Amino acid sequence: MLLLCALVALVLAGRASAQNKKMKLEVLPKTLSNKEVKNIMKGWAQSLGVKCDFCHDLLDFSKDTEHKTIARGMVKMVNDINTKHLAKYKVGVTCATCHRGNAEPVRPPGAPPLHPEEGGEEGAEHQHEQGAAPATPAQPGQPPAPAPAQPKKKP
Amino acid sequence: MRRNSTLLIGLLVVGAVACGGSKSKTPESPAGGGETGETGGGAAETPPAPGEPVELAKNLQVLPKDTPLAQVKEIMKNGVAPSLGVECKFCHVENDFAADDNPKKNVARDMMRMVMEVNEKHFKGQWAVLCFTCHQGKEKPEVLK
Repeated sequence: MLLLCALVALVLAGRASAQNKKMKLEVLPKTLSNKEVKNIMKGWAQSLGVKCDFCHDLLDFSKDTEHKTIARGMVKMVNDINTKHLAKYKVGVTCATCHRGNAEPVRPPGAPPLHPEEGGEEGAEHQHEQGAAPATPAQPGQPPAPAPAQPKKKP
Repeated sequence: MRRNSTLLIGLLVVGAVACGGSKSKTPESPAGGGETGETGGGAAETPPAPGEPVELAKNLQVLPKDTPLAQVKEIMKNGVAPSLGVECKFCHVENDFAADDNPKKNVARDMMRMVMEVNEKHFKGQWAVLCFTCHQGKEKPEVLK
């Protein structure tokens, strides 16, 4: 019985320790508490219509994944936009401004997809992160783009 | 200049496809006049005959200064304006499209610079972000939390 109690105490202590473990923050202020970070993450997830596993390894949330790296880049971008370009207009953007509940922001009708050869959103971010050259075939359900209207990658 | 060329290419892409892919061209509708194209006018553009001088847009500050007026109009008419759900006069002085009297034109220039920088810095030069990405056909992007 004593052994069982000790075991339970050990497990509970371990869980508590894991919960209090400081998160690995690279973009968000390191002064944020875990609870504050989680609330921010919930907002981001909602903005993109995704769940934690879109960016996180559920067995190890601190592990860096491809989507997590992209997300960090997007946070830097939002900060850039808001501080460098929009501050003078006293407005700002958030994840939701572009994403509107979609993992990938909606393109204008007829615009060529960013990541056609990857066959969908999943590959999309991969491609832009890797800087792969955009291709031009139309997305399913979209009219084909006019021939000259192709995105050009900077040489 | 390289940045400007990239911008032009991108905006041409956007201009050509953002609405051109889904809307038929309406030559009778007011032309965009470009970033600051010097004339408005709704006449359909006819490409200049070989050897004929190409008319350049005037007072360009973000787009390359050697951009033909017809291209600027195309960008404005099929890309920028429909992305914001507005017409030429939203940014331009009617009958003097090159004029800077409407303060919204300078806001538009700032936004173009922003989009250009964002795509270069964060999307490796791809046209990931367009006017439409935030505006979604509205003058001001919808505020969402």
